[in-house]
Amino acid sequence: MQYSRVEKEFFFRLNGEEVRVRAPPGYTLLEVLRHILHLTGTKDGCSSGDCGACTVLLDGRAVHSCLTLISQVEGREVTTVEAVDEKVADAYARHGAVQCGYCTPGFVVATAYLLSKMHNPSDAEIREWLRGNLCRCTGYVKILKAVESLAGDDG
Amino acid sequence: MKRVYTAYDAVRGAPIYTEDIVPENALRVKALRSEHSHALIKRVDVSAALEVPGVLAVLTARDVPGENITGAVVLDRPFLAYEKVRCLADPIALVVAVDEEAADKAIEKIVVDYEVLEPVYDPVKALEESAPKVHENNLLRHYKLRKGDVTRGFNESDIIVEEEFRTQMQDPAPLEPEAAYAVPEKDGTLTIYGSIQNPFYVLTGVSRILGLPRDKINLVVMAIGGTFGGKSDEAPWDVCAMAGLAALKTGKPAACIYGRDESMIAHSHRHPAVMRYKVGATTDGRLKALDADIYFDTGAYASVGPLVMLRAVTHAAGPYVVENVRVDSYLVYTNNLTAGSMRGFGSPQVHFAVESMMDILADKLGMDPVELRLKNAWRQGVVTASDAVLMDNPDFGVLAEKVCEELGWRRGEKHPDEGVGIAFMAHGNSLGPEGEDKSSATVRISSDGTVHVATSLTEYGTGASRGFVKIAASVLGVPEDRVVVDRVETQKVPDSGGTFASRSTLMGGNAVYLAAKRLRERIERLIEESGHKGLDVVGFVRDVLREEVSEYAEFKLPVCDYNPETGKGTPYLQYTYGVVGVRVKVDRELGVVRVKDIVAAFDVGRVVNEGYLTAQLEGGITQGVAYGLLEELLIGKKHKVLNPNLADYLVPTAADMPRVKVIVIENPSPLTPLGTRTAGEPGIDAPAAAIANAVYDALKIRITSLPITPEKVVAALEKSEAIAVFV
Repeated sequence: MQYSRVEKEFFFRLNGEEVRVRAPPGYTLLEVLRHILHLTGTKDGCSSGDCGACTVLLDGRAVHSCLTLISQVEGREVTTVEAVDEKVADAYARHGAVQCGYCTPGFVVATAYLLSKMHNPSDAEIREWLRGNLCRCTGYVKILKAVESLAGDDG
Repeated sequence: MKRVYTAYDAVRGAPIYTEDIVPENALRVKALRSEHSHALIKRVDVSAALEVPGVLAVLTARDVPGENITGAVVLDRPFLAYEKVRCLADPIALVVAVDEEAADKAIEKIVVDYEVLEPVYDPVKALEESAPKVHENNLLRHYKLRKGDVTRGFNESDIIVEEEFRTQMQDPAPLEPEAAYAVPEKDGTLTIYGSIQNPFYVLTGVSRILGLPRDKINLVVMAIGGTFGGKSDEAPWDVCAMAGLAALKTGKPAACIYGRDESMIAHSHRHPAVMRYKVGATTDGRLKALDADIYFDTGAYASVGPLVMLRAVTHAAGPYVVENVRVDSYLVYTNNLTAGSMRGFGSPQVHFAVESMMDILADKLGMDPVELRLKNAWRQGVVTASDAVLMDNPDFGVLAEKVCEELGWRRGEKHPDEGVGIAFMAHGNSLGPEGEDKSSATVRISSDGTVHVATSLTEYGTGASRGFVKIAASVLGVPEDRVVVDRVETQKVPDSGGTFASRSTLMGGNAVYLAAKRLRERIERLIEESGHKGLDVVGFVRDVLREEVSEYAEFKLPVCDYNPETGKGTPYLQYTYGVVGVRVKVDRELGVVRVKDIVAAFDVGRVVNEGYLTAQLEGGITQGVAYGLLEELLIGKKHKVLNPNLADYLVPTAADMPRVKVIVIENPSPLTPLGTRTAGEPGIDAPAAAIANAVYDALKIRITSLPITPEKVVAALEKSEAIAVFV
């Protein structure tokens, strides 16, 4: 039984470094990150853009890496949870906003994106900006506290 | 290897979930599931599927090496369906391929000829003589609750109210779908890494299906991305057995990872219920009689339905003293997706009914709903609905006072279309009538002075393992960073029972406490005998003894004597108590119910880890609000699951939730050494009823079926306005 698949080379910047990967052109950015580059911090919760666990920054904008084809990433800049501002991750940990941990990387990236666009978001703005990310454990109480603790922070 | 990871690791994606360790070249296993809810299988032809490039094997029922039958309580479900399918989740064939794409292509090429049978989706209809037979007998269990004489009770009542309630199928929807990765070892054993909530139960199922002795299989529990019941029952057995079967047949590592849709169809769900209640009281609000028939739809297979039914029936009269009680509960097979474990475990359904009934009654009596409840609420020493004396010590007065105060219960002016609602709850702790409640733990100090705690209780975000660290550290008098919780592997840890029924800290915590205490006492004796007074236990083991010291302990709760045949006896030794209050605003035109405030007070006995404790309660409440307003897994007219995805199945987002205010009361249980009460599930029990009561307070419409959708609100408003015009 013969089985082979077509692969192509792709080039992009990942967490500040240039990377070249060979991947099938139909692979999503999520598949490339997890299966080829072994950056497993970005999670796959639904593969259809509904849960937000796979959120990464593409040229500074939050996107679902499960809906982004690797060919769309050519020549662009990707930032994953492994490289977002440590302050955000620390705030989640400090406020107990982490339970099973599966949605957390997506929330951390989405929060970094929110804070890059809005220095001092209101409670309603935080809720609205995080509505693309589902958390099944926390009920959001501690997540909101974590994000609020970062609002207006100049450090 | 360490199992406890900290929140600081988790935020960076560090905990290793099953899918994180699957190499790209591992084989993939995917299941072909039934196209019909009820059909005979006439023929399965896999020849075209075998021709698809990249496919190594296509397996059907005849390829199962062990017994092709499974079930957590009743052996009623073929692992791979043959002869007949009973629901849309039934797997008929497994494709083993080099990647998912090849597997998906092959699945499309499998030909199954069905003879379609009429399905039944309603548990009341399924009991009719003419109903389609899902199994030989659609009635799976009939459990009772009996006290006094309800006929006399109703005769002595001044006011009698009656209502029928219906609740929906709720999906646990953990963020991580089910996953397993099986590796065949050189010595003929099988290692299966997985998202496994209850490893020793899974071991039983997998060993039976694969025909491998238990000691030839090592189940390794990876980080678990949530479960809420979905990973408690048979879904992890299936993924582990599917991956294991593929690994055995090919001799190569194989992974079985469910997609979101497959996860939502195949794992256990909350039982849909039909509940008919009749309650009688005197004019001064004393409960004289409660009479109910409860039908739980367990779907195509039993799963842990019989245990869910035990919890539901024993909670069916609420935390109230009622003079006379008759409850009959029926667990019924239908062609729905299988219901089993989901957070709350039969308790949210009956709380919705009972707590709605209390408000209906209060309204009829012209009494304040809080006053009516407090008048009848449990206290230590009362006789409960199963005719047993309550040894536990609830204090609903304190809980209600805190909630009313914080919520501003019926104080000041009422805004138009706004309402407040309240519901009480009691959640039986741990297993009660569901089985012998025994836990165990090993605590050891290794020669380098590290303290290890080993149990089979798994960590899926509850913080239970952090609790074990705290308990062991405090008993042994060592800093918490010297304590490690060992990774759960069935070949290495003792069987401490399952991580369900919110029992980790209660059962596991007490076992860890006893083992650590035994260990400390033993080492202190050694210190004294050897004349090294002044040395601490860890220092003595590390510096003087220089070899590992280990102690094992078991913790058991007394067997509860509730008898489901007679309907009498003690079902649970102790409970977690709570009062939930909500304020809602309803949009009359759109029918949308918006929860503005939630205040909930819980008696948790004793706090072990406050952050994780409140997180459990907040998360439970959120799922309870979703149960009340949003979530419903639906099978449509064409017999397909309409919304097995997170776009159409409405898990609440941050924008949907109000800020939840949780108040924790410490009123230690007099019945267990640590005095703790369980916290994992109680949050989910009362919000739906509190919301329904608040909607009534806002608009004087009583919604008796969940979820409270805009359509139901608009329809009820139209009906009530039509009646008003008519009058």
